[in-house]
Amino acid sequence: MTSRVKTACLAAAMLGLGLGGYWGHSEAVETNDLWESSQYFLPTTAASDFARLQFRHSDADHARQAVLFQIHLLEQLEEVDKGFRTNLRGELGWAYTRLAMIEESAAHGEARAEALAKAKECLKQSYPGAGEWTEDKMKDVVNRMDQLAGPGRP
Amino acid sequence: MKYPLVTGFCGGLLIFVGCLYLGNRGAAIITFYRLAPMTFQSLKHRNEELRVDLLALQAAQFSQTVKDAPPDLERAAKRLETIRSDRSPEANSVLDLHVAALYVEAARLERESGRGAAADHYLNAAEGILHSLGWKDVSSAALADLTRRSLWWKEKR
Repeated sequence: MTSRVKTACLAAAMLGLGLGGYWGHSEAVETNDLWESSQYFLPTTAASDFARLQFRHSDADHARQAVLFQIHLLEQLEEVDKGFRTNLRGELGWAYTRLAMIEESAAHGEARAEALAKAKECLKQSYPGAGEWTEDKMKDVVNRMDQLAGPGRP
Repeated sequence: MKYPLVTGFCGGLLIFVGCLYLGNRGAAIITFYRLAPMTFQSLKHRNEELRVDLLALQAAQFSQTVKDAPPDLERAAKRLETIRSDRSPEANSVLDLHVAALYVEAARLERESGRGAAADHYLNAAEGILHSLGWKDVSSAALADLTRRSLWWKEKR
């Protein structure tokens, strides 16, 4: 093999590794960014499913714990990831509505009113054009969502 | 060498394509390993407690994709049980509910296969967990909610 051929092969190898490395790195970063943007989807779905099933089947104390856990999780995520805020507000609104329904069944009037106020505030921020959020409308949406969600559907 | 120019070009092209592929795969693997997606690395130094809970919830969701066979379901349940120890009580409850759902489904499959004793074993385990989660009713109608839930996911897969 002449020295020219050797040089050409070496140059081709270096160029290939360099370009391939850059390409692979860019692809991996792009995929990672995509995953990062949706990384909270699975955990928030798990918390939401848990709250819904506990709300449907367990006693008031356990149901309250489950919903409070979901709320705490969503509020923490809002703090750590500001870009996620608008998506989470609506979910938080439904979680507070569910909490209000639990407090209503437990006859805790003050806690119910507090949860309802927070629910309305969150829903107003999340759906600005949706008009007035009445208690009945909010409860109706939660019940409909539970029926459509699959888990625990009638 | 008879045609050094042609041989050099073809050899170089082959080496270039090979190295391009190797470089691509190598860099992608190294970058992925370093970035560790789906592990909430950005929270590592900001809120470790939240990160641990998110990982638990994510594991719980992933358990729904387990193959529809009792040994696989039991393995998934055991795995969730092993990761539950260092989580917050609420995250543990989420894991418990998923373990119960896996046992309910395993019981259904065992019952369909005519293995009543194994089905009862899974069902008792599921009922115990659901009682601890405050379920008021663990009748077959209530448990069917969990089973249907799993089936619903499987229909979608």
